[in-house]
Order: sequence, then C-alpha cells, then structure tokens
Amino acid sequence: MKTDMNKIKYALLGMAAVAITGCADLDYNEGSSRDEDWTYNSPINGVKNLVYDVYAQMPSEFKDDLYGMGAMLASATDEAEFALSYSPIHNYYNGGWTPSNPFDNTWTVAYRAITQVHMYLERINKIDLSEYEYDPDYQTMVQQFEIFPYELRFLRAYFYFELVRAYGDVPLVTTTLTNAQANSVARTPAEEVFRFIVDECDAVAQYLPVSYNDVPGQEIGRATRGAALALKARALLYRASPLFNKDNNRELWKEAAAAGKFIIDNAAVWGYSLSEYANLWGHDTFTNPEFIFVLGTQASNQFEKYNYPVGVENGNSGNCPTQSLVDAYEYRADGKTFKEKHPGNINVTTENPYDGLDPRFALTVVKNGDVWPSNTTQQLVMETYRGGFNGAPKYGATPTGYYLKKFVDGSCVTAANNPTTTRHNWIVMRLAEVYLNYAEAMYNYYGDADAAGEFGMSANEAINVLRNRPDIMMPEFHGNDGFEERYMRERMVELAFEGHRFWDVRRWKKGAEFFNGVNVADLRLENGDVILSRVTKNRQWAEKYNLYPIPQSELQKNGNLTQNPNW
Amino acid sequence: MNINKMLVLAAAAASVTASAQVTLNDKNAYAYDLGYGVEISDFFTTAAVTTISGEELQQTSATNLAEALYGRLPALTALSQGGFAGDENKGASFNIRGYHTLSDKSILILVDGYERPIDRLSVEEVESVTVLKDAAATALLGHEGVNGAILVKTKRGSIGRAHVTVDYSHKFQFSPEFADMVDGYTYARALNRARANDGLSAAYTDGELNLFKDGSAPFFYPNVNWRDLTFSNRGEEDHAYVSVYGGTDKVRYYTNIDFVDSRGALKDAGQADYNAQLRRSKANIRTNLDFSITGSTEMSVNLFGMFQETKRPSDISADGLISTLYTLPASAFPYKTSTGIWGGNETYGAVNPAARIQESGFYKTHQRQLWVDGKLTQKLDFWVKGLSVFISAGYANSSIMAENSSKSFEYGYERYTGTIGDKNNVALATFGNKQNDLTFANWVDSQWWTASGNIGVNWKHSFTADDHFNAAIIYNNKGENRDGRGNTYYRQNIMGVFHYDYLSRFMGDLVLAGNGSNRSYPSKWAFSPVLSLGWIYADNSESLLNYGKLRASGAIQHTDYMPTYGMWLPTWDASHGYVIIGNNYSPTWGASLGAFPTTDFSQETSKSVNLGTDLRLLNSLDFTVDGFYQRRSHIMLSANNENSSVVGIQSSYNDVGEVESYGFEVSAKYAKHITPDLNVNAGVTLAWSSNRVLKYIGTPTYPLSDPVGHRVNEAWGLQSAGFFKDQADIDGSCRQEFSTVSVGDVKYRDLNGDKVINQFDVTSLNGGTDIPELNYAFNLGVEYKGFGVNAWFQGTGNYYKYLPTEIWGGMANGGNLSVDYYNNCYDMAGDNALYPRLTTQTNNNNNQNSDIWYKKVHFLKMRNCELYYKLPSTLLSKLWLTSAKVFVQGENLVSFDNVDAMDAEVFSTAYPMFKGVNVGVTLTF
Repeated sequence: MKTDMNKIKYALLGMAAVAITGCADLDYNEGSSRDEDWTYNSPINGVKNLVYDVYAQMPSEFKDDLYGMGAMLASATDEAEFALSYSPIHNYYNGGWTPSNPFDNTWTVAYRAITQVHMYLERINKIDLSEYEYDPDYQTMVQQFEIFPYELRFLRAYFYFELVRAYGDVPLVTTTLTNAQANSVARTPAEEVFRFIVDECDAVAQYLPVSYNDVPGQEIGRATRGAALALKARALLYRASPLFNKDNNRELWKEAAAAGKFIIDNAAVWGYSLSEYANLWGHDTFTNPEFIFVLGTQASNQFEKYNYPVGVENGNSGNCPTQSLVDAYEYRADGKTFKEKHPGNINVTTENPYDGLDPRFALTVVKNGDVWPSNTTQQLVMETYRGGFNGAPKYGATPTGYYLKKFVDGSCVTAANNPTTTRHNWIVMRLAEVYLNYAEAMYNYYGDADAAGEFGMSANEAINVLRNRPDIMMPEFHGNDGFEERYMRERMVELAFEGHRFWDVRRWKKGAEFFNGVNVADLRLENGDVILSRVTKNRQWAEKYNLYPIPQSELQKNGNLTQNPNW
Repeated sequence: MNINKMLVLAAAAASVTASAQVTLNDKNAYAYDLGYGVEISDFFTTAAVTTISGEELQQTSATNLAEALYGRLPALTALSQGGFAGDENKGASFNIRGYHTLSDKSILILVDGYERPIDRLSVEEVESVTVLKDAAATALLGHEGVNGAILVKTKRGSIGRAHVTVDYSHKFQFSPEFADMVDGYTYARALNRARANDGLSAAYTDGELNLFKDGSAPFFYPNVNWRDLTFSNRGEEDHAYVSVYGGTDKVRYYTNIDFVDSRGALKDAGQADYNAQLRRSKANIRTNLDFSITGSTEMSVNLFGMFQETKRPSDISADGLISTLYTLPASAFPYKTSTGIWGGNETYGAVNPAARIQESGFYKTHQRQLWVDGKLTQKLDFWVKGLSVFISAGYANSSIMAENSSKSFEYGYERYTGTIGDKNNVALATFGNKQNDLTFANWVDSQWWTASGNIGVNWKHSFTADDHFNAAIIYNNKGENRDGRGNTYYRQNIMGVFHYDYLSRFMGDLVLAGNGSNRSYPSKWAFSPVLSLGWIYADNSESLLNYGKLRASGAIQHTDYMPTYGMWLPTWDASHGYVIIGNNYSPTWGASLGAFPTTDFSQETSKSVNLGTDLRLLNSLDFTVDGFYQRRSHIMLSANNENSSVVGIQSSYNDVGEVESYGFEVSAKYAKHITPDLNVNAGVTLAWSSNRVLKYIGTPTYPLSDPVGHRVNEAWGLQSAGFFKDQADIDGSCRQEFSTVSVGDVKYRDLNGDKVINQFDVTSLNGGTDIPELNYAFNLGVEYKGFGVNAWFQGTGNYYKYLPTEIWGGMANGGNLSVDYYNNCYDMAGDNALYPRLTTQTNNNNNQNSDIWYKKVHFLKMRNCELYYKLPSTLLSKLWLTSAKVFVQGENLVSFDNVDAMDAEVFSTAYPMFKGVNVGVTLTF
C-alpha cells in the first residue's frame, strides 16, 4: 500500500512536471517577422518588393476591375454602354454618384501609393547591400537599385496626376504624415499640383533609362525616361485645358506643345515607333515599340468572358460600343462621318453603311453579321438585332446593337470545353497619344491648325502622321475648318476604350454636349432586312461631374478639406 | 444540523419525483463541475446556472445535442439556421443573454470541462447540460467564457450490474416551408411588364404568352416547376444506440454506441453507378471509465470517437439546391430539350438543378473526431486532512477529408429561327462540356486540434461545526489550432478559488484568476477577480417555502480578442497586387507596411453584476429569477473611422468601444406526483435582454447613423414613405441620390430636413437586432399509468430578418419572382403595395437598406412533442426487461409566426427545416 502510494506520488509529480514544462507558450507568434529592419536589409524580397508594390497599384483596367463586373471607364462615356445593370459604372450617370458613394478608389489607392513612396525615400539610408557584396549579382543589384528612387518619384507624380485630374485641388503631401497631420491638411490648388508633377518628371527623367534593355536584368516594364516625359506632356496638356486653365493662359498650351514635341523628336532615338492598330493588343504586345508605359497582366480569359457577346458561351456582353462612337468613324473615301452619311434610319442589309469606314472601326466594334469571336470553336454569325441570337430581349444582350472587339482577343476560347487564356496589356501611355496631345496644344496655342510655329510641326501635320499610318490611310487633315470637332473625333476613335474620353470631355468642359445621353442602335428585322434606328439613352450630366466629389467620410475626418463645387 | 436538513430536503425531493420522468433538480448534486475538483452543490452555489437533464433532452428526436437545445434553457437563445444534417456550421446557433460586445460574440461550449463542439454529440450520451450565465459561473473559464458558456456533462457508470439500453427510432421528415415562386406564364407576363417599366421592348408577344399559358410548346415556352422536379419534400432518418453502464467498487463504466443515418429530399439522385442523394451517416462511440485505484486515488478516463460520412451531388450542395430552386424562373428553360439535352441557356449557365443532381457526380466528406481526456485525483488526508490534488488533461482533434467525383454536362435550348411554331426551322444552342467519366480528387478539407492540461490542489476544511471552507489553486494550460494562419491560441490560467459557507445560510465565493494568452499584448496576463455571495433565507421542507436563496455576483473579466492577428507588429508584408516586369513576363508581388501597429491598449474588459433568487415551494415548484448588468469596455475598433486616407496607411485599433447589456430571466418548473399513477410537470421561462452602445470610435459621418445609444447589430436603413405615384409625385418630392427614379420606385423620408435623400437620412429602423431580445418557452408533461405526453414550445420576439434577395429580388438581372413579391409589388397592388415596381435591372434606389426589406419577425413553435407508453413492470419482468418504452415524437409540427410566405426562423434560402415524426422503442435490460 505504502509503495503504491509512492508510485502514485511519483507518477503525479512526473505528470505535474510534464504539465508545467510543456506549458502553453504565451509568446507564441504567427505574425510575420518582416519588420522594417528585415525589409530594408533584404534587397530582393524587401526593398525591391517595396518598389514593385507601388507599381502594382497603378490602375489597370485589365487587372483591377476598377468599375465592377468588368466595366471599363469607357462605359461611363459616350463610347460604350455597359450591358449588365448591376455594375456600379452606371452610377456615373444615373444620379447615384454622390460624396457618400464617391468612387473613392483613386483617392485611397493614390494616397497609399504616394505614402509608400515617401516612406521609401525617407528610409533610403537604411538600405544596406553590403552583405551581398560578394554575390555574383551584386553589380546588377547596385545598378538596378540606383534607379529606384527616380522611378518612385515618377510613380508619385503619376499618382498625383491621377488625383488632380479627378479631384482638382488635392492635398499635395511630400513627406509621410502622422494621422493628426493627415487629418488637417488642406487642398493645394490644382496648378501647384500640376507644377509639382511637371517638375518631378523633369527632375527624374535624366536619371531614368531610355530602355531597360541596356540595364542589367532587362526589367522591361519599369519607368523609363520616355514615360516621365510623356507624363509631363500629358500633365501640361491637362493644365492648359479649359477645366484647369481658368484664366485661359495661352502660354500653357505652348508649354504642353514643347513637351510633346520633345518626345516626338526623340522617339526614334529612344526606340519608339507607331505600330499597327491591330497590334495594340494581343498576347505578345507587351514590348510593342509604340508603348511608352504599359501594365501587363497574367494570361487570362476574364476580359473575353466579360466582353464576348451573349450567346457565346460564358460571354457577358460587357462594354458595348455605342452608335455615338460608330457615328464618329469617317469613310476613307471622303472623310465624311457615318452620321453625316446616314443621319436617319438605315437599311443595313441594302445600304451596307459600314463598307469603306475607317479601318479602326472594324478593329474596335463587332457589328451585326460579323463572324465573332475569331476562334473556330465559338465563332458565330452575330445576330444583334431584336430577337436575334445575340440581341435583345435576351437577358444581358447588347443594349447598343454592337459588341466590343478592341482589346478583346478573339482567339481566346471561353467555353467550358478546353478554354484558353491570353495576356492583356493595359496601355498607360503610347506614342499616338503624344501626337494627339501635341496637335491639341499646337492648335490651341496658335489658333491655326496649319501653323508649324517654332516647333516645326503643325497640328494637322501631327494628326496626319497618325492618319497616314499604312494600316489606317485616312484622308489627311487640312485647314482650320471644323478642326476642333475633327480633332475630338480623331482622338475618340484612336484612343477608344483606352480610358481617355472620360477625362478628355471633362477637361474640355464638353460634358453637356457629349455625355447628356448616348445614341444606341435599335436593330429590327423588317421583311428580312435589318433596319437600324438611333435611340437616345438619357444620361444625367451636371457641371459638377467635371470633378469628383471628395468622399464624405474624408470631409468628416478632416475639417480643413473642402468639397468640390456643387457636390 | 444543517447538513441533515439538506439531506432531508434532497430525500424529499427524490421521493416526490422518484418515478416521474421529469424531476426538479437535485439540490444535493453538484451545480456544475468543470473538472477542477471544485465541487459546489446546487444548494450552496452562488452562481447563475440552470441545468437540464439528459433525460429531458431525450424527449426530443434530435440526433445531435445542439439541435436538442432549442428553447430548453433560460437565457440560452438557440435558433435554427437550416441546412442538411451533415452540413458544417449549420443547424443551431447560440448566444447567451444576447450580445455584450461589438467584437467576438461567440459563447464557449464545454464537454466535461473541455472546449468541444456539440453539433456531432448524441443526446443519449449526455447526462446534463448547464448554461453558465453570470461571472460567478464562468470565473474559471478564462478569456473564452466571458460571453457565457454551456457545460455538457456526459454519463458515467455506477456500481451495480450492467444496464443495457437499446434504442431504435425512425424519423419521417416532411412538409418544409417554402416561399412560392410564380409559374412560367406569370413570369413571362411580369417580364413584359418589368421591361415596359424599364423602357424596353416586350420580351414576348401575346401569342408567345399564350404558349406559356397553354403549355403547348414546352420546349420553347416552358413552365417548369423546378421544386417538384428535384425536391421530394420528404426526408428520413434512422437512429439507433446501445449503451451499457455498470461497475464494481474498483471500476465503473459507461459506454455508448450511437448511429444515425439521415437521407435528404433530392429526387432522382440514384444513378446506375452511384447515388448522389444527400446523406449523412454518423457513428459516435463513447466510453467513460472511473477507477478507484486505492481508497484515496480516483482516476477517470473518457474516450469519444466520431465517424461521419456525408454525400451530396458534386455540383450542388443542399443549400445550393434550395437557392437554385428559388432563383431559377419557371420559364427560364425546359427541363430537357426535345433532343434530350439538359435545359440551360447563356443567361443562367449550367444551373439546371436536375442535371446537377443527376449528372454532376458526387461529393463525399469523411469526418473523424477523437476526444480523450483523463483525470487523476489523489486525496492527501493522511498528510493534511481535506487536502487533495488532481491532474487532468484532454486532447481532441478533428479532420474532414473531402472526396469529389465530378463530371460536367452539356446543356442547351432550342429556338425557332423561322416563325414561331415552325418545327422545320429550329436551332439548338448547346453549351458546356459533356463528360462521361467521373474525375476524382480528394483533399483535406479542414482540421483542428485542442489540448489542455490542468493541475490543482484542493483543501476542504471546517473551522467550526457549522461551516465549510474550500480552497483550491488551479493551473490550467491549453493550446488550440485551426486551419489558417493566426488561428493558434495558447492560454494559461492560474486561479485561486475560495468558498466559504456558514450555518448553511451564508455563502461566499471568490475567484482570483490570472488569465494569460498569446493573443494579448503588451501584457500577456490579465487579472480577473470574481466575488459572489449567497444567503439562504428559507430552508424548511415542511413549510410552504421549502427553500429560498438570494444570490449576487460581481466581476471584472477580460477577453483576449484581437480584431487582426498580430496587430501590435509593424508588419511589412501587405501586398497590393502584382506587376509584370521583364522580358520573361513574370508577375512580381510587392510588399509594404500593412497598418500602423496597435500597441497602446487594454484588453477588452467586462464588468458585470448578477442578482438572483431561487425558490422552492410545496416541494413541487422551483422558481428562479435573475437580472444582470454588464458593461464591456476597451472594445477594439478600427481608427480608420477617424483618420483620413491621406495618411496612406491603414490605421491601428483603438480600445474605445463600450457596450452595456442588461436583462432578466424568470423561470418556473413544476413537477408533482399527484397520485401513484399520475405525474404532471410543467415549466415556463421568459428571458429578455438588450444592450446599448455607449461609446464608439470617431465622429459619425452621418449623424443619424451614430451607433451610440443603439443596440449592437441593429437594422439601419432609410424609412420608406410609399412609392412614387406619378411623375408629378417624383417632381414634387425630394431628390433621391441613389439612381434615377421612376413611378413605382420607393420614396424615402427626408429625416434630416435637407430636401435630398441620401446617406444622411439613414437611421435606426427600430426593428430590433438580428437576434431576438425576447425569448420564452414553456412545456407540459403528463404521465398516467405508463402513458405519457410531453410538449415543448419555444417563442421569440423583437428581432429582424432581411428579406432574402433570391426570393424578394423582384426579377432584377434575370432573377426569379416570388408570388408574395408579385402580388404585393407596385404594379399589382398600387397604393397598397409592399414592394416597389417590377424591373429587370438593378435599381440602386430601391435596393437601399430600408424598412421595405427589413422585416420584424417573431414566432412561437411547438418544437417537440412526445407520446409514449412505458410497459408495466409486471410484464417487463417476464421479458427480462427493466423498462420498455415505445414513443412517437413530433418536431416543429406547429408554428405560429408573422411571416406568411415562409418560415420566420430559417428565413433564407438554406435547406429548410422539416417537420418530423419519430417512431421508436427503447428497451433497458
């Protein structure tokens, strides 16, 4: 008995010992160990990733689904109407856009990215590569790292451009802030923000390589000198535009023209050249020499699923080009527009109205009767008329009579059976835009589209460079007559679905003219013929829409912020 | 001598209820046993606890314990969420005394002192279930017990011969409640109406509408009743168990094997080579052993194993099927085309529920749970009288293996390409990929483990003849891990527990606890004192008032809840997407500082008081009243609410939230042996609890939406003021800033008087919160000469449900249309409308949260009823039986609620709750 007791006692003591020594570790921590020191002492996974995270936040309509359900910003303009009613994109024109429902993505993402740039620049002395001195890649690393601060300053300027074009005056912050400071900053006048962007681009351009092909690592996709200067030229154009150039200072146009011409003059040296329109998208276009800045995406068929017509398996119609856009295309023969030639109802079957249009039309728009998509598994003869296989009243069918082709890779199979994927490259800046920007600045400075002035190239000449591309070959622009209208059309057609029109119409203060409603095509079968008539879809437009509302919650947190007019 | 009095009382109570199937609680029994050797009887306890016996729970036909608790314990709100028997995280949801905080609201569930799930535990193996309501009851449970706890005690053996109980029952399930959806013709007509409202051309001509109506072209103009085609409205369940208990003076044992097999209500699930019917087969095996090793050494070991297999069609879950039945219009497409391909089209995709049941393969899960716990108690009276030590440990783990045998099917539809009705011009559009063979995959779906060890010293002592002192020092240590990062918990508790009672009239309990956790910071430890006092003002088995006790408790307790794991760490691993860099086109993900670290805060703290009294009258009526007040402070809230985004980095958290909660419970239980052959019992409980947010973070952007002064999880929205009657009405009303409005859209009230309707007009809709504030229950039981009847009712009041958009979406975006919506929409009901106009499009104006979509609900249900016959003992002895019972049990047979369209409780598209009739027999040898 006594020995039993002892055994138990020992057993108990043993168990107690186990219990105490095996005790739960209150310091156990599954949190990441990637603190500040680790980050700045780890060149690749730390420092480099800090830089790439800023790049990653540059808005890309192919990567980020910025407006919901695959809607593109084009669908908030007269270029397109989004087929599915549950996308938030419709709020831009249905009265649902308010300071409480503000599309605040630009505000939050831009300030986050800008802060990340400040943090990097302020901690730049913490970066220590000495541990890697004997690494075979050390020299490569050093050369890459030397460029990082300039890239980041370019990106910061880019995000400020995103902010200023959306909001006008915004707090111009150039250092990290405490919460208290952030809650009391006031808005800086837009012209100062533009000036900051231009100055920064000027300051960093010389340090940025012309191309990364010559920089170790060949990290194509990072910011180049051309990107900084193109941003500068674009910022100056916006600055000179009626929305921001309140006292109509003509000299601002001149500055914009000069910035554009500098790029045009150096384009060939820097390796830029205009590409075929059809090569602006597709699997292998990341290195298209026309692109000045481009954001790639991983291979996917999501964009095709969003935009293939209803009736094609997994097609959702998506961003449907409007009749307003179609009306803007000109005929190659005489330069007259579709609208001018066919102002009323059209018998599409007998009149063949699409024959002879600008080749960019057929590359941008899918119309009734086209064979689409191009892959043989899914291709159909499009029936976009009422009661047709791809037309109303089928749920989700095009509300405009057309489907999107530009940027959609028709070789991509979206069927459940053997689907394929493709890459999509979101164009941030390309050479054709530089020519257009230059032409606009020149015309506005000289008031004469033929004036070559001190830059040696007139607005018409710049535009004709684009119209004379071998795959376009549209009649040249001459003279001043109706230049402004023709220029706006050319810009709309050339840059369709590239995210420009939304901002261009605002900076021109032409919203009431273009965005107060869009025309769509109502296609009906009559005695076997397809009859097209234009129907106007009402959209709301108010002058306050030229600038975004400051989010209501931001006004609440910062008493020094003021709201934009009439919001 | 008071102890004697107590024994007399206990004996009296026992004699009164000896053969009644429902008894009053034995005051001599331990009120609750956490396994820490702290043993306070119901007579002496100062805590607010209520216990229900396993025997009473067995009056239900629930096959798991969680589902047996509906309306059974005061202050424990148990509500069904629907779902099929084998679905994870469905069935019963719990809370105790409502919400107390803005953060984690979950309660703690313990089995034999260890944290365990009870949704797979059988009812038979349960000895009792206790709800631990106040701080005095949860004082030993550490951080996790602060929202209240349920303590389940499993059955144990006793000295004597082996008692064998065998039970078999079969449950017929039928008549679940569904909201009705419109037929194909009505849908087609409504679609034309909706399109007209949207300014769109008609979808169908009158001729086509007639084809829907007369059904003469079912492949082109279908009217499919998807529910009738795929759902049988009937399920069934078989349940059997064998349990044995007995023991010697050295070993006592209880063992139980419980098997349940549930089948769902799918139609045509059986295929040539497999059956995809919803099915759950589960076996529980339990063995509880108690050893008396020496006269002073006790050991117990509990083993529990659970094996469960579930099955369903690969492409559709039980809940998914019901959702599809609601969302798929009758006119969408035919069941099959005339050529025998599954119906389907580009609008709805591969959703055909019949196809998904019959041709998508099957999905199985295999779940295993193993629970082990043991305890060794050594009395050390030889050294110091009254001294004992114990050591105990428990471990449990679970894993769910998933196994999927899937294939995809082809679907399509036919259409007339010439004129309607021209059979020579028909085109077939097909989609999808027809696979003939099943593709197999398997993976570990989820797993968890939890381990716990305890060691303690107890000392019992009487200083005088009339008092008892009990002191214990307990050290407790536990770990827990669930799938995913940041789900590992390590906790330690060091507790001093002191009890003193004097003259069997005055009691006091004090717990001083140090609660440690790896999830608190900067201090790993929090100090939680709990004091409770009791006064027995009546204790006389002869008088009218047999027993009366007043209780009071007060405490400061803490939680280790953290809104984000590791929030005090400045972590530089937040990634905001990828960028493509380099000619090899490789995506690179970035990194950045995710948020400002939260370093300066206190752990969420609960300060609570509870006052209660327990009475027993005429040895047959127990009466308990409790009232509580709790104030929760240092609730962590994100400072994003007060910091501008211009700072560029996510804010930290501030521990500024405060919530007060309060309420009361009243319960009465009557049990009496009226004549030798007649027993009656009855019970009633009423519980009410509410709360108020006292402090919140930041200044509210929208003053009317300030949560301060309101309840946690209240319904917020706009107040409707009818529907726009005409354009003049729209023009004459305030502008509504959600989307363009037209006739038949919801008109809202301008609450802040600024002449526009927007977020500034959002207010509390005073519709209660998402859980009921009022809970009540009552039961009745009568037994006469072996025949008995029991009925249990549960009622709730003052809470809201959001009308599920699948049913009340008003056909937007290809959605379906319910009969209730159709009959009461603006187009049909005009001025008496409850819902806005029909539309095919998303209508942001009408979709705003508002009193249109929040429905205040209440219900009263007869949860369970039972009719049984116990064979007389004269007959039994000839059959070698000690008892035999045949029974018929009903569940959810009667329900009263304020929702016409469907069940007010499971107000969703979850697999519905069935009515059930369970027939069975229990034999004890």
